[in-house]
Amino acid sequence: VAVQTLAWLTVMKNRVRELRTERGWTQADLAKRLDVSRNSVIAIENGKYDPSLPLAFLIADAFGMKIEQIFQRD
Amino acid sequence: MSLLRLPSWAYTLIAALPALAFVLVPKIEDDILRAVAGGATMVWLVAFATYAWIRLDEPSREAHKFAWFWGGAPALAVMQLIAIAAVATPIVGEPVAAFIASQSKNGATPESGFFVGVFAAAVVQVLGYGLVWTCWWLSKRSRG
Repeated sequence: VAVQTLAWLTVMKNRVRELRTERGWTQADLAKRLDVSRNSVIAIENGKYDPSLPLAFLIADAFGMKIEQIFQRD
Repeated sequence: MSLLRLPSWAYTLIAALPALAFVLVPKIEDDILRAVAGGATMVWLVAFATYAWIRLDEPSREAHKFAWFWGGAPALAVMQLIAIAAVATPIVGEPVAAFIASQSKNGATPESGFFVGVFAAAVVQVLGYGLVWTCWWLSKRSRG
């Protein structure tokens, strides 16, 4: 089976919670910066929702980092 | 907060209010006036529902899409199976006809069967959607 067909099975991990707490932001603060709901921030932090590239770029911009510094393959 | 940047649910509420009023207030007797009011209500509903969707964030949109696909569509399929079984076998057909008769003052006629069937299918579809939508969000809140 081609690797590409298994892309949806790839488990991603992220450092969103770690980076947010480092900055002293609440989940609501980050949600406001990203213009998303707090539930969405919770889902992303828990690794239960992988954001699309546009949202991942917004998250990276919010932290002033590159996407690959925040999101990695598990 | 700008009126253009309210939460998505606020626009959903704004979209639904005239539709609720149209259903709940006494019926407008004049046919033309009723048609104009109904058309305006639909335009309002579609416009604000569209803007509510635009304002919705990405995971929330995903939740809706997932819930319609895995909740709404299977629920509708179940209703289709019930409809087929009701036509094919009296075991299912008799209770369905009794239900239709209980919901219509004209009894179980083809017309009442159609309207009760459409309404029941919509209700079951929304129930299936709501169940999966709730499960989707609950699953995203758990760690690990």
